[in-house]
Amino acid sequence: MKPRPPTLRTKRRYLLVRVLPPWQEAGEKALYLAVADAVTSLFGDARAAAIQPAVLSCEDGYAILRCQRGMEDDLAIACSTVTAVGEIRIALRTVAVSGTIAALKRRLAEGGPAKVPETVTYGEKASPAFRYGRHKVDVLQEGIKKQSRVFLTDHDREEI
Amino acid sequence: MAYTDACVHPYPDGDTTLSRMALEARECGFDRIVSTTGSGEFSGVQVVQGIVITAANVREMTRGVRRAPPGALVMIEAGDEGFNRSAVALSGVHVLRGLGRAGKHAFDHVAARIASDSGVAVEVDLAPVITLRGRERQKVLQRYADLLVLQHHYDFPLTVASNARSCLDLRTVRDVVGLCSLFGMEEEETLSALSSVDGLREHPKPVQVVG
Repeated sequence: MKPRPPTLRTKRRYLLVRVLPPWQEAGEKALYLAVADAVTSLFGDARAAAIQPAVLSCEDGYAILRCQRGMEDDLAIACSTVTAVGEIRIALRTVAVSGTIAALKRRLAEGGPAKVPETVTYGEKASPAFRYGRHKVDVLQEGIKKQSRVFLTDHDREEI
Repeated sequence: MAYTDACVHPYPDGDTTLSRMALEARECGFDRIVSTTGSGEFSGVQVVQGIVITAANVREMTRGVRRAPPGALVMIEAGDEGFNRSAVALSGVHVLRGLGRAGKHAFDHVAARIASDSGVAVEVDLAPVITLRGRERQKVLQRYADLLVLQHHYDFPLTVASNARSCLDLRTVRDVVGLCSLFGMEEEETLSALSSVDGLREHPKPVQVVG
């Protein structure tokens, strides 16, 4: 199929979204399903069709989303209602909106968060933890049934 | 203008410590948070002690308000129509919360007028808007839209709270403005509600009998 001339193409906007916690792997497809579900449940099928949400990439704690021009505010609101991808609790925070992907990629920080946890002493036992930002420490605790997360700062961990 | 998240629940109520919650709140654009578990200043964010009173009747509520620590922001969990009228009329109460979950007529024009006269704020809780889906969320959005009609008429203060139990539940100021636009709040109104806690804390305290 011959591509449309630029004047006839639909205009799009791209959102740079931070995925929290940044060390949590969220696949593009799973993230798309979560975002599409949030858009549909908040605005309904008709508006979701107009927004046309899509996930272009998801890596290193950031995702790039796409929507129709003029719908970026709606997509950002819908993103703020995403609380989980599958069974994993996450949060999406919109960082920037742009007309080009290149402009968003320039804003991405060099080097992503650590993917392998380090071992820290939390309470009286050693637990895996991810350290990022300046003082943030996310400790993973093994429970009887499932793993839980505790969000601390360096200062808290020293006190505990 | 200092933006305040009017209620968060750090560790042990939630999975995030108070200092981490303050750090994340700063990244979200807040200057102050109201916490149910402590106070102080962390990462440049002022943490105000808040106390949530859940009472079955007016007597219990009055006892709870009397026992509230000095300087704390006193928040009452909403109940039925009569209870809410008493709550907004009671001196020492700063905020009436949980109206999204209360009945359809739990907060009427009489309660709105009393709240306006006594300077008691009504909390807009964003947690149900974020977490609920379908009919339940529609109900909450309807309640808030109705509340906004009364607020426009009687001009009582509003506060906006994330009621975050985890740092993942916090939302940025821009997100809060977007979420509040779902039930018709203008950007200026939302920003004004985010900075209304100052005025509540300066509200005159009830007269106490000493000795």
